[in-house]
Amino acid sequence: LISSNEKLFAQLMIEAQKGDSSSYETLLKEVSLFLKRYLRQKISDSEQLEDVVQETLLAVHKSRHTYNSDRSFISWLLAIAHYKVNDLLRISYKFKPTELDESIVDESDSQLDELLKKEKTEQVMKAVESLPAKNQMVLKLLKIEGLKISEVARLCNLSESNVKVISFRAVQDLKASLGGLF
Amino acid sequence: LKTNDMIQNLSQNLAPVQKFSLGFKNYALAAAVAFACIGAGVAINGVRFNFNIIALTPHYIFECLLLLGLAVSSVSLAFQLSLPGDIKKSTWSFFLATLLGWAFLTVYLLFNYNKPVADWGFHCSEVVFFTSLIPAAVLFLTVKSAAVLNRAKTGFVIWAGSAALGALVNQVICPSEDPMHLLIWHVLPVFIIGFLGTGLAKLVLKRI
Repeated sequence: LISSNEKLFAQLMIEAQKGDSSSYETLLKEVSLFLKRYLRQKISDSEQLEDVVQETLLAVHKSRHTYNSDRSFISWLLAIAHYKVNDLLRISYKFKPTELDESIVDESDSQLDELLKKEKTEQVMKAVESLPAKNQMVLKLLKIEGLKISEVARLCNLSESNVKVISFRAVQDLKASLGGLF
Repeated sequence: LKTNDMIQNLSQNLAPVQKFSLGFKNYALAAAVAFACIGAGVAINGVRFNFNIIALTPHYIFECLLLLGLAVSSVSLAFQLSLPGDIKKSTWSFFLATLLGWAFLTVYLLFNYNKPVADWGFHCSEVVFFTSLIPAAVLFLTVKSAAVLNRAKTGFVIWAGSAALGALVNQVICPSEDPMHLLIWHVLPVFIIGFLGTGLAKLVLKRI
Protein backbone atom coordinates (compact mmCIF):
# COMPACT_ATOMS: atom_id res chain seq x y z
CA LEU A 1 0.00 0.00 0.00
CA ILE A 2 2.76 2.40 0.97
CA SER A 3 5.42 1.78 -1.64
CA SER A 4 2.95 1.71 -4.54
CA ASN A 5 1.68 5.16 -3.66
CA GLU A 6 4.97 6.83 -2.82
CA LYS A 7 6.04 7.73 -6.36
CA LEU A 8 2.60 8.85 -7.47
CA PHE A 9 2.03 11.05 -4.42
CA ALA A 10 5.49 12.58 -4.62
CA GLN A 11 5.09 13.41 -8.29
CA LEU A 12 1.65 14.94 -7.77
CA MET A 13 2.89 17.00 -4.82
CA ILE A 14 5.81 18.37 -6.82
CA GLU A 15 3.35 19.50 -9.50
CA ALA A 16 1.03 20.92 -6.83
CA GLN A 17 3.86 22.94 -5.32
CA LYS A 18 4.25 24.56 -8.74
CA GLY A 19 0.57 25.54 -8.61
CA ASP A 20 -1.02 22.78 -10.70
CA SER A 21 -4.60 22.60 -9.39
CA SER A 22 -5.63 19.38 -11.13
CA SER A 23 -2.58 17.48 -9.81
CA TYR A 24 -3.35 18.80 -6.38
CA GLU A 25 -6.99 17.75 -6.57
CA THR A 26 -5.94 14.27 -7.69
CA LEU A 27 -3.34 14.12 -4.93
CA LEU A 28 -5.80 15.09 -2.21
CA LYS A 29 -8.38 12.59 -3.46
CA GLU A 30 -5.80 9.80 -3.57
CA VAL A 31 -4.43 10.81 -0.20
CA SER A 32 -7.88 10.86 1.39
CA LEU A 33 -8.55 7.31 0.13
CA PHE A 34 -5.12 6.19 1.31
CA LEU A 35 -5.67 7.74 4.73
CA LYS A 36 -9.11 6.20 5.11
CA ARG A 37 -7.67 2.75 4.38
CA TYR A 38 -4.67 3.32 6.62
CA LEU A 39 -6.48 4.91 9.56
CA ARG A 40 -9.44 2.53 9.60
CA GLN A 41 -7.33 0.20 11.75
CA LYS A 42 -6.90 2.93 14.35
CA ILE A 43 -10.27 4.67 14.23
CA SER A 44 -13.41 2.58 14.04
CA ASP A 45 -15.91 5.44 14.19
CA SER A 46 -16.56 6.55 10.61
CA GLU A 47 -17.41 10.12 11.60
CA GLN A 48 -14.19 10.51 13.55
CA LEU A 49 -12.28 8.94 10.70
CA GLU A 50 -13.74 11.49 8.29
CA ASP A 51 -12.83 14.29 10.72
CA VAL A 52 -9.22 13.12 10.98
CA VAL A 53 -8.92 12.75 7.21
CA GLN A 54 -10.27 16.27 6.70
CA GLU A 55 -8.02 17.71 9.39
CA THR A 56 -5.04 15.94 7.83
CA LEU A 57 -5.89 17.26 4.38
CA LEU A 58 -6.12 20.79 5.76
CA ALA A 59 -2.75 20.37 7.48
CA VAL A 60 -1.27 18.99 4.27
CA HIS A 61 -2.56 22.08 2.49
CA LYS A 62 -1.11 24.45 5.08
CA SER A 63 2.27 22.74 5.16
CA ARG A 64 2.66 21.73 1.53
CA HIS A 65 5.62 24.11 1.20
CA THR A 66 7.59 21.93 3.62
CA TYR A 67 7.48 18.78 1.51
CA ASN A 68 10.90 18.08 0.09
CA SER A 69 11.20 15.59 -2.76
CA ASP A 70 14.44 14.25 -1.23
CA ARG A 71 12.39 12.79 1.59
CA SER A 72 9.58 10.26 1.62
CA PHE A 73 6.15 11.72 0.94
CA ILE A 74 4.42 8.95 2.88
CA SER A 75 6.55 9.60 5.98
CA TRP A 76 5.75 13.30 5.66
CA LEU A 77 2.03 12.56 5.28
CA LEU A 78 1.84 9.96 8.03
CA ALA A 79 3.64 12.22 10.49
CA ILE A 80 0.88 14.75 9.96
CA ALA A 81 -1.85 12.09 10.10
CA HIS A 82 -0.50 10.54 13.31
CA TYR A 83 -0.35 13.96 14.88
CA LYS A 84 -3.96 14.60 13.90
CA VAL A 85 -5.04 11.19 15.26
CA ASN A 86 -3.32 11.94 18.57
CA ASP A 87 -4.93 15.35 18.56
CA LEU A 88 -8.35 13.80 18.05
CA LEU A 89 -7.74 11.27 20.81
CA ARG A 90 -6.60 14.03 23.14
CA ILE A 91 -9.61 16.19 22.35
CA SER A 92 -12.10 13.34 22.56
CA TYR A 93 -10.58 12.25 25.86
CA LYS A 94 -11.06 15.75 27.24
CA PHE A 95 -14.34 16.11 25.42
CA LYS A 96 -15.85 12.75 26.34
CA PRO A 97 -19.44 12.90 27.58
CA THR A 98 -19.16 14.22 31.08
CA GLU A 99 -20.87 13.02 34.19
CA LEU A 100 -22.72 16.30 33.94
CA ASP A 101 -24.37 15.26 30.66
CA GLU A 102 -25.16 11.81 31.96
CA SER A 103 -26.77 13.17 35.09
CA ILE A 104 -29.03 15.46 33.06
CA VAL A 105 -30.46 12.59 31.08
CA ASP A 106 -30.46 10.18 33.97
CA GLU A 107 -33.97 8.91 34.35
CA SER A 108 -35.40 8.28 37.71
CA ASP A 109 -38.84 7.34 38.89
CA SER A 110 -38.78 9.04 42.21
CA GLN A 111 -40.25 12.50 42.52
CA LEU A 112 -37.27 13.74 44.47
CA ASP A 113 -34.96 12.68 41.69
CA GLU A 114 -37.22 14.42 39.21
CA LEU A 115 -37.06 17.62 41.22
CA LEU A 116 -33.31 17.41 41.62
CA LYS A 117 -32.94 16.72 37.94
CA LYS A 118 -35.09 19.70 37.06
CA GLU A 119 -33.14 21.92 39.40
CA LYS A 120 -29.84 20.72 38.01
CA THR A 121 -31.04 21.25 34.47
CA GLU A 122 -32.09 24.78 35.30
CA GLN A 123 -28.70 25.49 36.81
CA VAL A 124 -26.93 24.00 33.83
CA MET A 125 -29.04 26.07 31.44
CA LYS A 126 -28.36 29.16 33.53
CA ALA A 127 -24.64 28.44 33.36
CA VAL A 128 -24.88 27.91 29.61
CA GLU A 129 -26.66 31.27 29.25
CA SER A 130 -23.78 32.96 31.08
CA LEU A 131 -21.27 31.80 28.45
CA PRO A 132 -20.20 34.18 25.67
CA ALA A 133 -22.68 34.15 22.77
CA LYS A 134 -20.41 32.28 20.36
CA ASN A 135 -19.50 29.56 22.89
CA GLN A 136 -23.16 29.25 23.83
CA MET A 137 -24.23 28.75 20.24
CA VAL A 138 -21.52 26.18 19.49
CA LEU A 139 -22.28 24.24 22.66
CA LYS A 140 -26.04 24.24 22.05
CA LEU A 141 -25.66 23.13 18.45
CA LEU A 142 -23.24 20.37 19.39
CA LYS A 143 -24.62 19.11 22.66
CA ILE A 144 -28.32 19.94 22.53
CA GLU A 145 -29.11 19.87 18.84
CA GLY A 146 -26.64 17.02 18.35
CA LEU A 147 -25.13 18.41 15.14
CA LYS A 148 -21.79 17.20 13.80
CA ILE A 149 -18.68 19.31 14.25
CA SER A 150 -18.49 19.90 10.51
CA GLU A 151 -22.10 21.11 10.42
CA VAL A 152 -21.58 23.47 13.35
CA ALA A 153 -18.45 24.80 11.68
CA ARG A 154 -20.42 25.54 8.51
CA LEU A 155 -23.34 27.13 10.36
CA CYS A 156 -21.15 29.33 12.55
CA ASN A 157 -18.69 30.10 9.80
CA LEU A 158 -15.81 28.69 11.84
CA SER A 159 -13.12 26.12 11.15
CA GLU A 160 -13.71 22.66 12.59
CA SER A 161 -10.71 22.91 14.85
CA ASN A 162 -12.08 26.23 16.10
CA VAL A 163 -15.40 24.58 16.88
CA LYS A 164 -13.59 21.85 18.85
CA VAL A 165 -11.59 24.39 20.78
CA ILE A 166 -14.62 26.59 21.52
CA SER A 167 -16.74 23.65 22.65
CA PHE A 168 -13.91 22.28 24.77
CA ARG A 169 -13.49 25.67 26.44
CA ALA A 170 -17.24 26.04 26.91
CA VAL A 171 -17.41 22.65 28.65
CA GLN A 172 -14.45 23.61 30.82
CA ASP A 173 -16.16 26.89 31.76
CA LEU A 174 -19.34 25.01 32.56
CA LYS A 175 -17.46 22.52 34.70
CA ALA A 176 -15.83 25.38 36.53
CA SER A 177 -19.07 27.22 37.19
CA LEU A 178 -20.97 24.06 38.12
CA GLY A 179 -18.11 22.51 40.06
CA GLY A 180 -20.00 22.46 43.33
CA LEU A 181 -23.12 20.98 41.79
CA PHE A 182 -21.61 17.92 40.07
CA LEU B 1 -18.69 19.68 4.62
CA LYS B 2 -17.96 16.57 2.56
CA THR B 3 -14.31 15.63 2.04
CA ASN B 4 -14.69 15.89 -1.73
CA ASP B 5 -16.13 19.42 -1.48
CA MET B 6 -13.27 20.38 0.79
CA ILE B 7 -10.76 18.99 -1.68
CA GLN B 8 -12.33 21.06 -4.44
CA ASN B 9 -12.18 24.19 -2.30
CA LEU B 10 -8.55 23.59 -1.42
CA SER B 11 -7.44 22.90 -4.96
CA GLN B 12 -9.28 25.84 -6.54
CA ASN B 13 -7.02 28.77 -7.46
CA LEU B 14 -3.99 26.94 -6.09
CA ALA B 15 -0.98 29.23 -5.89
CA PRO B 16 2.57 27.98 -6.33
CA VAL B 17 4.51 27.77 -3.07
CA GLN B 18 8.12 28.45 -2.34
CA LYS B 19 9.65 25.30 -0.95
CA PHE B 20 10.88 25.52 2.60
CA SER B 21 14.04 23.73 3.52
CA LEU B 22 16.59 23.93 6.28
CA GLY B 23 20.16 23.59 5.25
CA PHE B 24 23.72 24.72 5.75
CA LYS B 25 22.71 28.41 5.73
CA ASN B 26 20.43 27.92 8.75
CA TYR B 27 22.99 25.87 10.69
CA ALA B 28 25.65 28.48 9.92
CA LEU B 29 23.39 31.28 11.15
CA ALA B 30 22.61 29.36 14.36
CA ALA B 31 26.33 28.71 14.94
CA ALA B 32 27.25 32.35 14.29
CA VAL B 33 24.58 33.61 16.70
CA ALA B 34 25.65 31.07 19.33
CA PHE B 35 29.32 32.07 19.14
CA ALA B 36 28.42 35.78 19.20
CA CYS B 37 26.27 35.32 22.30
CA ILE B 38 28.87 33.23 24.11
CA GLY B 39 31.52 35.82 23.20
CA ALA B 40 29.33 38.68 24.39
CA GLY B 41 28.51 36.87 27.64
CA VAL B 42 32.16 36.24 28.41
CA ALA B 43 33.20 39.76 27.36
CA ILE B 44 30.57 41.39 29.59
CA ASN B 45 31.21 39.26 32.68
CA GLY B 46 34.92 38.52 32.40
CA VAL B 47 36.77 35.22 32.62
CA ARG B 48 36.80 33.50 36.03
CA PHE B 49 39.99 33.99 38.03
CA ASN B 50 40.66 30.23 38.32
CA PHE B 51 40.04 29.47 34.63
CA ASN B 52 43.64 28.44 33.90
CA ILE B 53 43.55 25.79 36.63
CA ILE B 54 40.06 24.46 36.13
CA ALA B 55 40.09 24.43 32.31
CA LEU B 56 42.44 21.45 32.30
CA THR B 57 40.45 19.23 34.64
CA PRO B 58 38.66 16.27 33.00
CA HIS B 59 35.25 16.93 34.55
CA TYR B 60 35.31 20.55 33.40
CA ILE B 61 36.19 19.58 29.83
CA PHE B 62 33.54 16.84 29.90
CA GLU B 63 30.93 19.29 31.19
CA CYS B 64 31.77 21.80 28.44
CA LEU B 65 31.55 19.07 25.80
CA LEU B 66 28.16 17.99 27.13
CA LEU B 67 26.85 21.56 26.96
CA LEU B 68 28.24 22.06 23.47
CA GLY B 69 26.68 18.75 22.41
CA LEU B 70 23.38 19.81 23.95
CA ALA B 71 23.38 23.09 22.04
CA VAL B 72 24.32 21.47 18.73
CA SER B 73 21.83 18.61 19.07
CA SER B 74 19.05 21.02 20.03
CA VAL B 75 19.49 22.93 16.76
CA SER B 76 19.48 19.73 14.74
CA LEU B 77 16.49 18.36 16.63
CA ALA B 78 14.53 21.62 16.42
CA PHE B 79 15.04 21.69 12.65
CA GLN B 80 13.91 18.08 12.34
CA LEU B 81 10.87 18.70 14.54
CA SER B 82 9.88 21.66 12.41
CA LEU B 83 9.29 19.51 9.33
CA PRO B 84 6.80 16.63 9.25
CA GLY B 85 8.47 13.28 8.77
CA ASP B 86 10.63 10.77 10.51
CA ILE B 87 12.91 12.12 13.20
CA LYS B 88 16.23 10.38 13.62
CA LYS B 89 16.22 8.53 16.92
CA SER B 90 19.92 9.27 17.27
CA THR B 91 19.22 13.02 17.41
CA TRP B 92 16.69 12.59 20.21
CA SER B 93 19.02 10.21 22.03
CA PHE B 94 21.96 12.59 21.73
CA PHE B 95 19.90 15.55 22.95
CA LEU B 96 18.55 13.66 25.96
CA ALA B 97 21.88 12.03 26.73
CA THR B 98 23.67 15.38 26.85
CA LEU B 99 20.92 17.12 28.84
CA LEU B 100 20.47 14.34 31.37
CA GLY B 101 24.17 13.47 31.35
CA TRP B 102 25.01 17.00 32.41
CA ALA B 103 22.37 16.95 35.16
CA PHE B 104 23.51 13.53 36.42
CA LEU B 105 27.15 14.58 36.36
CA THR B 106 26.32 17.52 38.61
CA VAL B 107 24.27 15.31 40.92
CA TYR B 108 27.15 12.83 41.00
CA LEU B 109 29.51 15.60 42.11
CA LEU B 110 27.12 16.25 45.00
CA PHE B 111 28.17 12.97 46.62
CA ASN B 112 31.42 14.62 47.61
CA TYR B 113 29.62 17.72 48.73
CA ASN B 114 29.75 18.65 52.39
CA LYS B 115 29.05 22.36 52.47
CA PRO B 116 25.89 23.31 54.38
CA VAL B 117 24.86 26.19 52.06
CA ALA B 118 25.37 26.57 48.35
CA ASP B 119 27.16 29.62 46.96
CA TRP B 120 24.65 32.31 46.02
CA GLY B 121 24.40 32.60 42.26
CA PHE B 122 21.36 34.43 40.98
CA HIS B 123 23.60 36.18 38.49
CA CYS B 124 24.49 32.79 36.95
CA SER B 125 20.78 32.15 36.27
CA GLU B 126 20.49 35.61 34.75
CA VAL B 127 23.41 34.78 32.46
CA VAL B 128 21.72 31.52 31.42
CA PHE B 129 18.47 33.35 30.70
CA PHE B 130 19.82 36.40 28.90
CA THR B 131 22.32 34.44 26.82
CA SER B 132 19.53 32.17 25.66
CA LEU B 133 17.24 34.95 24.43
CA ILE B 134 18.76 35.79 21.04
CA PRO B 135 19.63 32.21 19.97
CA ALA B 136 16.14 31.06 20.98
CA ALA B 137 14.53 33.96 19.10
CA VAL B 138 16.57 33.13 15.98
CA LEU B 139 15.57 29.46 16.15
CA PHE B 140 11.91 30.26 16.80
CA LEU B 141 11.88 32.63 13.82
CA THR B 142 13.57 30.02 11.65
CA VAL B 143 11.07 27.27 12.41
CA LYS B 144 8.07 29.61 12.50
CA SER B 145 7.61 29.46 8.75
CA ALA B 146 8.00 25.66 8.71
CA ALA B 147 5.29 23.24 9.84
CA VAL B 148 5.87 22.35 13.46
CA LEU B 149 3.67 19.47 14.54
CA ASN B 150 4.69 19.14 18.16
CA ARG B 151 5.05 22.70 19.37
CA ALA B 152 5.68 21.86 23.02
CA LYS B 153 8.61 19.53 22.31
CA THR B 154 10.05 21.95 19.78
CA GLY B 155 9.79 24.83 22.23
CA PHE B 156 11.52 22.84 24.95
CA VAL B 157 14.32 21.75 22.66
CA ILE B 158 14.89 25.26 21.31
CA TRP B 159 14.98 27.09 24.59
CA ALA B 160 16.76 24.41 26.63
CA GLY B 161 19.41 24.19 23.91
CA SER B 162 19.78 27.97 23.84
CA ALA B 163 20.00 28.05 27.63
CA ALA B 164 22.84 25.53 27.39
CA LEU B 165 24.83 28.30 25.70
CA GLY B 166 24.27 30.41 28.81
CA ALA B 167 25.45 27.52 30.96
CA LEU B 168 28.52 27.32 28.72
CA VAL B 169 29.17 31.01 29.39
CA ASN B 170 28.88 30.26 33.10
CA GLN B 171 31.55 27.60 32.70
CA VAL B 172 33.95 30.39 31.68
CA ILE B 173 32.83 33.19 33.98
CA CYS B 174 31.56 31.60 37.18
CA PRO B 175 34.38 30.77 39.64
CA SER B 176 32.26 28.46 41.80
CA GLU B 177 32.91 24.72 41.73
CA ASP B 178 30.34 24.06 44.41
CA PRO B 179 28.12 21.24 42.99
CA MET B 180 25.04 22.51 44.82
CA HIS B 181 25.59 25.93 43.29
CA LEU B 182 25.99 24.34 39.87
CA LEU B 183 22.82 22.32 40.32
CA ILE B 184 20.65 25.19 41.54
CA TRP B 185 21.98 28.10 39.52
CA HIS B 186 23.33 26.47 36.34
CA VAL B 187 21.46 23.22 35.69
CA LEU B 188 18.01 23.97 37.07
CA PRO B 189 17.55 27.21 35.08
CA VAL B 190 18.19 25.31 31.84
CA PHE B 191 15.35 22.91 32.64
CA ILE B 192 13.05 25.72 33.81
CA ILE B 193 13.79 27.78 30.70
CA GLY B 194 13.18 24.68 28.58
CA PHE B 195 9.75 24.27 30.14
CA LEU B 196 9.04 27.96 29.58
CA GLY B 197 9.87 27.23 25.95
CA THR B 198 7.01 24.74 25.73
CA GLY B 199 4.57 27.49 26.65
CA LEU B 200 6.17 30.09 24.44
CA ALA B 201 6.11 27.76 21.46
CA LYS B 202 2.35 27.43 21.76
CA LEU B 203 2.08 31.21 21.52
CA VAL B 204 4.67 31.79 18.84
CA LEU B 205 4.33 28.80 16.52
CA LYS B 206 1.14 28.37 14.61
CA ARG B 207 -0.79 25.14 14.78
CA ILE B 208 -1.05 23.27 11.51
